[in-house]
Amino acid sequence: MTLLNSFHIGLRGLLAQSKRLEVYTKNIANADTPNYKRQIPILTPAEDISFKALLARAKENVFSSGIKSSVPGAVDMPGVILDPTPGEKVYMPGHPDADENGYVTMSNVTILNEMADATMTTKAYEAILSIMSLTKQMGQKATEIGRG
Amino acid sequence: MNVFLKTFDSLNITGKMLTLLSNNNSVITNNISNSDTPGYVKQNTNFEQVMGSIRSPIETPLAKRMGPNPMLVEDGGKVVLEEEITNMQRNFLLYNLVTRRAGSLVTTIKSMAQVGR
Repeated sequence: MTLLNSFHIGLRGLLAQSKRLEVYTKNIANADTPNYKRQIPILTPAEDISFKALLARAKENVFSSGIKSSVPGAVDMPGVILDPTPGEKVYMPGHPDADENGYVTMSNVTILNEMADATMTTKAYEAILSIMSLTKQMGQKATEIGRG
Repeated sequence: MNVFLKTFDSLNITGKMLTLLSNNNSVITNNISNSDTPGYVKQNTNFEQVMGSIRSPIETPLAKRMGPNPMLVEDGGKVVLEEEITNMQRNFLLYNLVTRRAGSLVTTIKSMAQVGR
């Protein structure tokens, strides 16, 4: 049933977005930690690798061109990359993290950026939730066919 | 073909349409899930091609029985969240419309079956 497929894709979307929000939260929490490197979540479109999807794709390669896939995938968050931007150096000679010249490298997190990204993530999460609730209503409509 | 069989045929077509719409729903879900994914290209269901193939005389009987193959096209654009939400609502309304049609067809078949009782 293709409606259940929607739920599956939506669920993976929700999981990926909440993992992403976790990363931003961690960045904000560590904004004042010396030597902390900002983490950037990577999102990639996931391909459906079920037998049905692979078969459909193989058929398309033979019969038509320009059409990529007939089975939609989902979204995945495979991990994070570290932001290589150097952090600000602050002169604090007594600090335990200070180097030989007395400078402490602060984290390279900008809280405003992280807040903006977190808001985007929340919006995406809400959009996925709303389509999942519509999908539920569609399923209910489908079970009512022929009743009464 | 008598009226009874024709009604059944319409019911079959509404069924295929429902499959197509629910597949379109997964496509929209996928687009929304990937709204922030870098490098993701928006996908759309090619309705013309599918609806054309339902009634086409050149389709093989097997292809007809298997139903429409939901063709996806990558239309080269970036996902616009508002557009996808609009598509999602439109798809929902269409789905409701088709389920109502299917319901009335079932009612018709039921009342036909009771003729003469």
